[in-house]
Amino acid sequence: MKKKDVVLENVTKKFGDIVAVNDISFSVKKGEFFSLLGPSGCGKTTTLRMLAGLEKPTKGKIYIGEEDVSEVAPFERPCNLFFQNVALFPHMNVSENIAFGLEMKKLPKSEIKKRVKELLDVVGLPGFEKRRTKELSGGQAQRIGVARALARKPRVLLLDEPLGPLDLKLREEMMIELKRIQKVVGTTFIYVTHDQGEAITMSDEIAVMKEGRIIQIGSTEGLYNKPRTAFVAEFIGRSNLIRGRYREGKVNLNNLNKSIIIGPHKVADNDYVAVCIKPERISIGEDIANLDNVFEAVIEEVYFQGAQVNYKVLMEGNYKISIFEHYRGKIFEQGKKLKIGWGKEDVHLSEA
Amino acid sequence: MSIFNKILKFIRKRERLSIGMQLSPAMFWIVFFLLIPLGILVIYSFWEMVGTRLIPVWDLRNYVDVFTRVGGMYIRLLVKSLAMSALVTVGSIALAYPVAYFVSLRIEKYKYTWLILLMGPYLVCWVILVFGWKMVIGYSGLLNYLAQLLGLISEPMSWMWNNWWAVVFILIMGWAPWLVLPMFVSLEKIDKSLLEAAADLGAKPMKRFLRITLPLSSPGLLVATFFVLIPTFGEFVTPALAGGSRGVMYGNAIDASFTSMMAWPFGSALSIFLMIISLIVATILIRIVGLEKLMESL
Repeated sequence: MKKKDVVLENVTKKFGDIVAVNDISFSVKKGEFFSLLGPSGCGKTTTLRMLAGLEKPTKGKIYIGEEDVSEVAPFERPCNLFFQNVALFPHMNVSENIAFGLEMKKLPKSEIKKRVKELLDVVGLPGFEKRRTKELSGGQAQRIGVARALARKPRVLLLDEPLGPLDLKLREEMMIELKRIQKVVGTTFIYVTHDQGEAITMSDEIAVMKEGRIIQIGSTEGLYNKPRTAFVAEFIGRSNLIRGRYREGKVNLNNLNKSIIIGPHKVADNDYVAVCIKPERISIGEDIANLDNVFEAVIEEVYFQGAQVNYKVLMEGNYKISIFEHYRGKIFEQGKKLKIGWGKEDVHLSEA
Repeated sequence: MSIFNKILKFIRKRERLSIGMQLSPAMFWIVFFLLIPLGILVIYSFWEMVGTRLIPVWDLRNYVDVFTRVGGMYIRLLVKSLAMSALVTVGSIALAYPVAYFVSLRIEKYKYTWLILLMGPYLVCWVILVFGWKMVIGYSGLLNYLAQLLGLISEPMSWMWNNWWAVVFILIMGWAPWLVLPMFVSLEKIDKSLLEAAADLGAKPMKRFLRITLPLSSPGLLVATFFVLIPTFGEFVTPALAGGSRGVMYGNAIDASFTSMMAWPFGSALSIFLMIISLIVATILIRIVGLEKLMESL
């Protein structure tokens, strides 16, 4: 097992009466890309700021490496923060920005120069030493920000929604770039975002947060396929949620006098649950009788996207269902009545 | 079509005229209250005055006089005034910067209330301000009274009033609250996440101040320098009230030329000389910061 690099134990943060972070615990392995994902106000940024030492936890302990850092000042922590607005020093050029943290360490000049060059190579901007910060494009500024944050060789790099201000294309580029940089330097990254796309693309592990608590921690695939609650299911990827009551391997639907077969499950009988079915796991057609669950449906909207066709259908019982199907030269038309279905292994039960 | 509309149409057709019309109140102001008096001053500086009569002699005798009269006293006075203004500038900045820093970075609630309170001294006029200080540091002022009462001195101290340093002191006290404003503005403009970033990169508080806060607030410091240095250079009210004969400044010499000395042309030459020096100083300051930055921080 890999070593744990960051550990939070029962950390709580209150601002006055408001509980921003409510008794959370998690650990991050060394060299991992870990994301804190959640809607705004869920406490993810506060968690990050506590790791950075910019906020003090009201309760609980934070370890970085083996060390309890709860009482350690920000400038003495073995972690660096990449700021939401990059926060490059406007009165310094690129190399002065990157060198700042090294100068604070009082490294010799020649070494600083070498390290700056090295970092500019890592972030793919060699020869940018003398550029002024005003002359950098959004993406370049981001990379310089990453280089500056990595300069002191932190154990952990904390990133607070770094891609927020970028446009879509640049954001996609930077996602790949960040992941690449993280692999090259091997530093543990803790990444805060509200964008599930970013989290899924880059992370090894994700913690989904809501209202100051962690709802679920897991690998990206685990979270995608087995969301613990309806909230996680709706937050990660797209899911169809059909609510009902569980009884003996079946879920009796709320709106419809039918049930969905899901096989035996570790849920108590009569519990309210949400059946989570991913759009790409649903079959659509006129003759799909061999599946465990088959329902009548009418196609309401069709979006052809080249490799994939997205359908919005209205299932019996008034359930709106999204379906993604590989395009195989055939598209069903709007208004067509047909059948949709899925096997019992295609569903996952989440807390409603 | 009414006459009015015709005029409007005529003006619209001639864009330059229209712009000129829009600027005309400002132009009027500048021409009548600045350029024409200045022109008269320039003209007078080449004339001569006999008794109460101005004679247009058109020569440079007044400018030569600025350098040579009373053994170069006027030039020495000019240098002394410049040194005093420099001292006032440094002193008032030193006093105001910590206040601006405190209000901007340490106070969270009611920032602007504090700033407005700082402007309190400007509710009284300058002359009253000066006499207010006289009541504190003057010969029969509060300090002397208290010191005598406590038996620290037997005679009132006279070194606190009627000399150059009393003038410098009062000017510092008068300017300092004003200077809080431009410095507050430039401190407010500093993105606080820059300081967090510096802390995150290992900079301790003193280093953060020296490497981030101070350089980024330097435009405010230069605006402040501008604010104080140039007007103080030509100051004549404060030295007249609090300086006595030892606290005289260049501005008092100009004042005297136009009043007691009845030497308007010489006074004009002194004024123009002062303006030229001020312009040079201003140019140097602008060169150091760059006009763009200066305007940004206003």
